[in-house]
Amino acid sequence: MTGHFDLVVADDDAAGLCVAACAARKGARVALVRPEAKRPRTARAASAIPNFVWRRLDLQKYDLSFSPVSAIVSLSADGEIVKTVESVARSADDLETRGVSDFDVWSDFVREVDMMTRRTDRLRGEFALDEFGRAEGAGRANGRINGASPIEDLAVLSHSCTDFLDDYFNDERMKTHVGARALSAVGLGGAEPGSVVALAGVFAPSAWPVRSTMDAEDVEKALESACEEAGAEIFSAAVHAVKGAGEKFRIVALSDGQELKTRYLFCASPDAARRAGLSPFAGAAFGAASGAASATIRLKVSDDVVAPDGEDGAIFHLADDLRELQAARDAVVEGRLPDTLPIEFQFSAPGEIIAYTAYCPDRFMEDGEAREWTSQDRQALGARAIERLSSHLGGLGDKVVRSDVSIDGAYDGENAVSAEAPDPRIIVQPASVNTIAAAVTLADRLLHEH
Amino acid sequence: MSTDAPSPVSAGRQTSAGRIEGGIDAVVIGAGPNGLAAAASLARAGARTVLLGATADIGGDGRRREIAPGVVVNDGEHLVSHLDATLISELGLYKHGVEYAARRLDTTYFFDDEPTITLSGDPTQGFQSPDVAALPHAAAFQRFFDEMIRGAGLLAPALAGPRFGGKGATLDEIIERADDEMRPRLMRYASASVDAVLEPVFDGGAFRDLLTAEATFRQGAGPHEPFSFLGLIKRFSGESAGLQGAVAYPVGGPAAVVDALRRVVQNARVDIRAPVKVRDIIIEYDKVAGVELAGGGQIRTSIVVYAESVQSLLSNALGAEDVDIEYQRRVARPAGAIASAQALIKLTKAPSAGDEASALANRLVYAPPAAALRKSFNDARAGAVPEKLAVEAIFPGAIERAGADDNDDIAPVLSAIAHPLPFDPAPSQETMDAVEKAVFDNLELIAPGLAKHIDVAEIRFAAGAGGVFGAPSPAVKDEKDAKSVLLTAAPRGPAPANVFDQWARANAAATASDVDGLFFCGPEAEIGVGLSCTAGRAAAAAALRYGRKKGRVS
Amino acid sequence: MIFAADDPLRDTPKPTALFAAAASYCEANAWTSVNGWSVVRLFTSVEEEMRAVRSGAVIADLGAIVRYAVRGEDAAEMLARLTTAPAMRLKAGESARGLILTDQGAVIDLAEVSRLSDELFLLTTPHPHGRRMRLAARGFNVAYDDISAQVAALGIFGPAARETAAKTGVDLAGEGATASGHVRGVETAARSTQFGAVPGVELVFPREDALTVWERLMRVEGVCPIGLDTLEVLRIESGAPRTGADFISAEHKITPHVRTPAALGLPHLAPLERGWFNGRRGLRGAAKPTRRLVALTLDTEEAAPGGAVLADARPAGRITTCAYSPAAKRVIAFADVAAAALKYPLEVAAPPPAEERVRAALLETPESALARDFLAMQKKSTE
Repeated sequence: MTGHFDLVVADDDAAGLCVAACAARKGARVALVRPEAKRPRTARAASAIPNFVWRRLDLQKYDLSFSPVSAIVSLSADGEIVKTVESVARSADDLETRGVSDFDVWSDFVREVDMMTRRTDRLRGEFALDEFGRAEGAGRANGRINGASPIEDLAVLSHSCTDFLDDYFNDERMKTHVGARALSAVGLGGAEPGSVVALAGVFAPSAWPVRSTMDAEDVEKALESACEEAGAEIFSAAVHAVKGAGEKFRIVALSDGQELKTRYLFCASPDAARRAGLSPFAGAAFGAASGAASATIRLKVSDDVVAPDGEDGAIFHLADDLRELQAARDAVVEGRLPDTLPIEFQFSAPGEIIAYTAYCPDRFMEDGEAREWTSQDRQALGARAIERLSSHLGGLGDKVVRSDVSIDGAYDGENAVSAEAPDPRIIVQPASVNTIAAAVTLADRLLHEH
Repeated sequence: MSTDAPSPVSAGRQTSAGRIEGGIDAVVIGAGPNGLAAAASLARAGARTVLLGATADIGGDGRRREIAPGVVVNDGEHLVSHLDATLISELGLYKHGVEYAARRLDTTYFFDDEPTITLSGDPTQGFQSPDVAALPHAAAFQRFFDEMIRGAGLLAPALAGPRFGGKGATLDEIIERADDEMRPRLMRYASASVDAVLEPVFDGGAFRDLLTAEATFRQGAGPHEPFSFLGLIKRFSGESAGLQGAVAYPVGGPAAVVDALRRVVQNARVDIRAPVKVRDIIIEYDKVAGVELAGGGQIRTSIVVYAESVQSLLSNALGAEDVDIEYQRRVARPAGAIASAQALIKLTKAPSAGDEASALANRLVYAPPAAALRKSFNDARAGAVPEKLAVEAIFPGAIERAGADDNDDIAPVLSAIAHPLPFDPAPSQETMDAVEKAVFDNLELIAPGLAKHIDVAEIRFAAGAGGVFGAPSPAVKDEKDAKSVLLTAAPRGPAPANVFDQWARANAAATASDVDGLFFCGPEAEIGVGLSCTAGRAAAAAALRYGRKKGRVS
Repeated sequence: MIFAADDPLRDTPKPTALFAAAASYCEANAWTSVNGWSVVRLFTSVEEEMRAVRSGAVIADLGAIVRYAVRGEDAAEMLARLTTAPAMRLKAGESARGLILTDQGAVIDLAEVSRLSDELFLLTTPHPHGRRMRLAARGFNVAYDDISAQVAALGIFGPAARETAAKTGVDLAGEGATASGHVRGVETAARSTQFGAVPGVELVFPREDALTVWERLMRVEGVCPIGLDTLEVLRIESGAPRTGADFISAEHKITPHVRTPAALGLPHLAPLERGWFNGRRGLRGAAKPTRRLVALTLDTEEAAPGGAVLADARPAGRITTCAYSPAAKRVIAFADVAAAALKYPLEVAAPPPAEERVRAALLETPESALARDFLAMQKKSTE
């Protein structure tokens, strides 16, 4: 046994690092398990480091710099653009000039989803905690604000995203813009019950995505030193197995033979869980896509490809229709590639586009039999992504010099960690647009119990 | 066309224009099963009650009907699984003609590739045959099933119907009070998807398929969607014939229950008036003061029980100028996308009473593979008719005869419900053909060779919430075809999204915008599908408490 | 007339229609932002501006207040539902104040409803309510528009307000009267208003004519502009709470804590016998408030929002907004105080260097007088 911990955080993206550092700052015994094999770093815009995390880790001491993405833009096939920016008032103005009739409820919408974030975070904590059969009354009162019960919250959050958007907006472009942004991040379809959770925090200024103006590795290095200073132990290995189901502690066996005894194994996102070989099912009851993997497609394109509307620093969504997202989700559920691939993309550097989709099956179903990803599948996915980008960016297809597809969270029968899912001691934070804030809040609540 | 039912419309007085009628304690608007249950409860407690029906058809559309000369079928719900036990005893429904032909129907499940499995009608009894107990996963199934039944029992009070005026348990209180072992499990039951709960228990197989089919049957959400597991809990939380989770068949079918309710209503001297259109609910000093009829007359009363849809309450009876903005938003129900279909089939010959004799009197369920069912839900929501449907079928004749000693041929009639199908208020001929094919294809798995023996068949889209099926629309019978299939589109509404959503909306709707003296028990106040009457009974009980407090009802 | 709380940190403010005019007169160059609009805090100094208010007439840019035009045959019904103002009973040309409540009876915002013609109303609120307007309009035959960005709005205050308005061509007969029409070629809606004891006129006209009207008014002798800080003194003197500062809109909180009109000292703005409005049923069943918002005079020249209010030497509440009143030579303030503490003598802690406790007394304002009369009448009618 190498050590005894309160929290073992698997994977080392920014969210995982923040969780480990914050928990260690609070005095918990924390281990961070980083896989040795480095995955290719993407320059995707990430959720911002929330201010409360910044304060707690005194991140001003580290040389970090971020800039907010300039806009979130949805592009429809007929070239129409809907754009929102960090400033709520300016977004409303821009919507008005584009003739979107719902500009007048934009600020109400942002406020409402912001409130939903708080309720969702609270509820996630409530769910994670409830899996442990903790002592009667303990901690339960803390989860309540003036007697509001988790079930009442859940009732609000059990609706579907589409229903909520239909109730809020009249303009189809607006529904598509909001829905594409919220759902693409989590890989859900809008008609699914509980998918309204995906809206939590979306477009809230506090959750506005940022791009680092420095190398992704430098950001992680800085956060890693924050972890070390806070007293978290770092293990450079992969999770090999989780043992001890049904008991109070889990033994996390690492690929290098070390064993860590811990109360909880924590993953900040389903992607992180998949990278660690765990089932993303483990902790997520709602608001999370099951059976899905995600793909990042890097495209080298010729220099004359320019960002639509001159928004070099924006996040783009290809969105013709919300039903398209649902159809893509249906395909994932049935174990096949979506015909029309929902895509989020950005111009990471001159001549480079990074596209991302959360709508990939973790394995394929063919004639009732499951099979794993092959290189042909990867190629097919890349081709579909380029085809789709091409239809919205006017003949991009001819200008692609090179493409490179990587899949996160594909099912890997051989190396899948055998943990009896759902294991109440394995916490997987559902995907959200505001991963870091949600993950740190959840970890806080877990540790608060002890 | 109804046969032995008493004429539903009493020669009640019609209030003429300008006339104001007094001396009435309560008015029940809407004469479906919930309206009848409410009127009966009120009148038996001594309240002078008027029941207003929008159409002459008192008791709703769940009636017996003749689909071919001499072939009378039970139109609507074909089984009872959630009948309100308190209502039965309070109203003495057994004395008024409710009698069970089968109190606990065994269920036989059919699969694509696996042998059939029969489960006892008493869910606590488990398997009937040792063959089943020897199947893979059987032990795990039994363990899981017992746990689930226990959870369903705990959650039953909250899932039976909405809470009126703070009486009754909420889902939350039940979960809160549960012990440390049950609480996390209940929380999971309330929010998780069928797949998420079953995945760790079964890696596949017949047991998982049958649980998946039961959980999603007549629900709007597929097994992979969150909150869908509560569908299974709802299915086994219901009580009928005194047993949790049992499925019963009353003599004469579920319509007999409605007939009995009608008899109670008539015996209790409820003043039934139909057809009567309500123009407005009169509100004075924030309280219900009466009902204004379309003819111009008024009935003064301090209690109104409203048993029609929340939509009609908001747009006609109350109007937005009397309804809180928040209430309007909470109860607004988006249109669902998924419906069921009911097939009523007369066969050319009676089903053989041979080796399958015992099974014929069972509840027969075809459970498609869970993965196929997932796809079916996706297809149905996208508007396509799925290939694989879960089907529940019964031979009413066989069930009614099962207790009898004689070996007469049973009536050659089959009643089946298939799910999920796309909800389409005005289906094209193409869609109807596709539905017909899908229903028969899947029925074939329960009754092989059935297609060859069809004499007359009628397939209709069935409703979700509301418990009863759409009113029959005049069908055009194809005279040329000996095997005539009548497909009519009479959708009452799509299936409810999921039980959790229904629970939340039912509780919101039941507050009836907090108008004093107004009690809502329309379709939106019901949780789950099927004939239960809990909302009507509970609304009447709340109305009586209110009336007594105000000294208006003795 | 009441501004929402300022939010200078939220966004880069936009110029109101009168921005250029106001900027050219703004010697103190002190600005803030309300609802995302630039608003002048001070043109010269509060004392100077207050003197002008008392002596003649002043003008203020009211462009940061939200305005909706509501039209249609059900406009009155819709507004009677959304607000507690008696919209149904207003005749063309009349205005009334009210509140916007949740179904629980918690206050969301203040509102002023003016009937411009049979089927046209003007709704004025401190905060924007796009979503709520949309929800409230469901089931009614109405169309509404947020006209805040298309119009200029200007208030004339002081004893000579009405004459000043008349000199520019606006003729208002009597209190509460609203006029709309063309004034020297400019389409204008005008209504007579009241800031506590200070009479006033509010003009709403097309954005393009902003500078013309401003200059026309400035040419009247003795007229000078005032900023938000002076309006604060007038507001606290009048006894009207400010949304976002004295109370938080019920729509902006996740806690279900209900603050009723009575808790804000505004029971007369939501009388139950006015007919049905959104929140009336909730209000009927609402508990007596445990905390009250009261106007106070403090025997000090300095105080700050957030300062503790003591009753019987124990903490009983805090100051929500305050301002130095040059007339009273002391600070006047709104404070959120435990209802039970109001029977004790109140004190506040004065800031350094004094660091002593000073006396605080309940301030009789026109608003609190209305509330008192209303409650007395209500008591009499129940007896």
